[in-house]
Amino acid sequence: MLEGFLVYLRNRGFSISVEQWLTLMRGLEQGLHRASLTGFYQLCQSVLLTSETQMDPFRKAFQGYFSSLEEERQPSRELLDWLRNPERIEGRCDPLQLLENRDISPQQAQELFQERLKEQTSQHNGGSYWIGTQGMSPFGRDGNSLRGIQVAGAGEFQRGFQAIGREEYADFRQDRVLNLRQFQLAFRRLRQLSSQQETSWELDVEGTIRRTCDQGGLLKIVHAKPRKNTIKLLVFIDSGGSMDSHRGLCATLFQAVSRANHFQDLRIYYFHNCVYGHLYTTPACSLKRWVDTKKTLEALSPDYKVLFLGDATMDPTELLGSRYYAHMARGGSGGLEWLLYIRNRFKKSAWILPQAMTLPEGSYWRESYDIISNIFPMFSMTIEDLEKAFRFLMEPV
Amino acid sequence: MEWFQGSQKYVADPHLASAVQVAQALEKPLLLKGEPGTGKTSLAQAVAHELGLPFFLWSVKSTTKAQDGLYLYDTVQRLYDSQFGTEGISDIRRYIRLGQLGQAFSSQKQAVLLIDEIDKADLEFPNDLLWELDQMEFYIPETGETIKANTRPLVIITSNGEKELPDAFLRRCVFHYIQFPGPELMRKIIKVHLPDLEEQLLSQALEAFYWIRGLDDLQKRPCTSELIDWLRILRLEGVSLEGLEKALPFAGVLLKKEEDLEVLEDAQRRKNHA
Repeated sequence: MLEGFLVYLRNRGFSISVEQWLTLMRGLEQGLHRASLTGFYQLCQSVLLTSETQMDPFRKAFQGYFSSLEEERQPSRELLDWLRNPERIEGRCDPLQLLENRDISPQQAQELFQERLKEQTSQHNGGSYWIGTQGMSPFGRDGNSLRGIQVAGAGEFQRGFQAIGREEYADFRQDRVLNLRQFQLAFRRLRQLSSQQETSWELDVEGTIRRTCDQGGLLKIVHAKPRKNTIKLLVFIDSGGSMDSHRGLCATLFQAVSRANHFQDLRIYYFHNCVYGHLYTTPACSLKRWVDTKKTLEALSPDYKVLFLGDATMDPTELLGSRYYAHMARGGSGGLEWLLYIRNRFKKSAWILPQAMTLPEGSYWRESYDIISNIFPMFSMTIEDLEKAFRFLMEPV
Repeated sequence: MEWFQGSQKYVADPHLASAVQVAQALEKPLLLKGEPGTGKTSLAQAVAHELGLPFFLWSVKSTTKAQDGLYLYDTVQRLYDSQFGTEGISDIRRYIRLGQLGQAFSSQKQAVLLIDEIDKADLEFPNDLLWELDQMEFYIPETGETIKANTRPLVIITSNGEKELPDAFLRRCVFHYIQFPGPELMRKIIKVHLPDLEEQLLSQALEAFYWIRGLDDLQKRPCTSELIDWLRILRLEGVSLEGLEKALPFAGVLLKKEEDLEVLEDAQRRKNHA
């Protein structure tokens, strides 16, 4: 009877396997949901979810699916007391009624429940109509009906999904902007073990000992391919100006990059507005600490993965270059030419935006964004997008 | 079966206790995630202690291989022995050393096995354990023996999320994320560790602690174990309550990074100013 819920969850992007679903059914059989909706919710969480990033979307999905069961009208204290402390009666399960109730939809159950709430004035146990315990009506507690509304579960009255209606896990949603750990995690996608491609071999000490001992002491040399990350990363960070408001976020990303010690090589340069004839080596973009763009980049092999970090929002003249700036101050070319140079110099490059572009099309400050997004694929700074960006960087050319 | 509800030494919130129950009942490994210092590792010990079960700890490192948990064939020792004509070298079983997983399987009584920080190992590590954790058995080709668990051990796995675990592995686990405890639960936890702590000191320290955790720019937020250390020092040094109000002494116990201490200083200045 819960298959609808499975289909609903899968349609909402929860990749739940049949095995997980069967495990949930096994849990229900064993009563691990403690006969309450909250218990069922917790059981689903334990069995169906695999990551904290799913917790908030799952809560919403669950609520969406079952919200029709939520009481509109709160049952009276008296009614709850009967339900909690029923007079015990034995053997009240009517198979016909069982079948009838099976086909009740959540909406019908809700309507009937509201109706009974208005009518009911006394205690009912073991019946099939009123809200009571142990009986066949679709309402109440400890009943035998397959479907219906649980009113006072597990010692405490639980008002449907109110107990789980909290935002606790909102932090982990995949589309949220990231913290350091998440950045680091994302960066681990940029990994390519040399053993997969390299042709050189090195002495495998462990293997040699083992094989030698296996042969009763006759020396047997074993070789293996080294396992090192071969990824080389080249990062350009926009510093200052319109990026000031994203400083915290960029600092976090920077820390994640610089702490990731698993790259074969990592170069980080800064630029102001756009990349021109010089690259800054410190975020302050001081003229004393710059290097010649062309010389620097020419020394790097084309297999460096290039990552730009910037909002791509600048005055169009900074990109397209007015004559004066282009020739005097910026080493002969406008920013656009430099970006194209970098794109063509390296095999793979991507642009990370601290925030998804929100400016309307055709607005003045958006022009530079539109131009740059034609040069570099753009990704925003969410887990989902960052992973996409790294996957893109890892794809073969 | 006995169910774990928390213990005198380990305060488990109801969600966690129910996740342990689900794992016990469904005979699936329990995968625990959560901020460092939220008691992921100590849960397994508490469960074993409370239910009176033998406890095996397999602490995973970056170089750990799945094989290490199963068994090790000590060929070097065997070769060494052979040089001196030690008896019994023809019996390979003498040189098979069971790993933590192997020991948990062969335990007479149901065991609790903690696989700690599984995310530290190679990306493929969890996949290499799928069969063993599913079937609770493994084969030793050197001796032709199969080690099979009499009773399925309760397996608890912790991860700090440094690496993503493979889907196939995740689907076989009961998942629980340990939420950082709120002030109420934290109070209970502190009471367990420092039963005779002054009420007023505790209240003030908790207030300061949650204020620090709430600061935006921290790189590493302080957690439970750091709070306990801090309280110990505050008590040991006899810091007065007024002292705690004005400044935060020994903040270095809570915050380990210099940048974070600067963030705290700034925040305090702003707070005192306001």
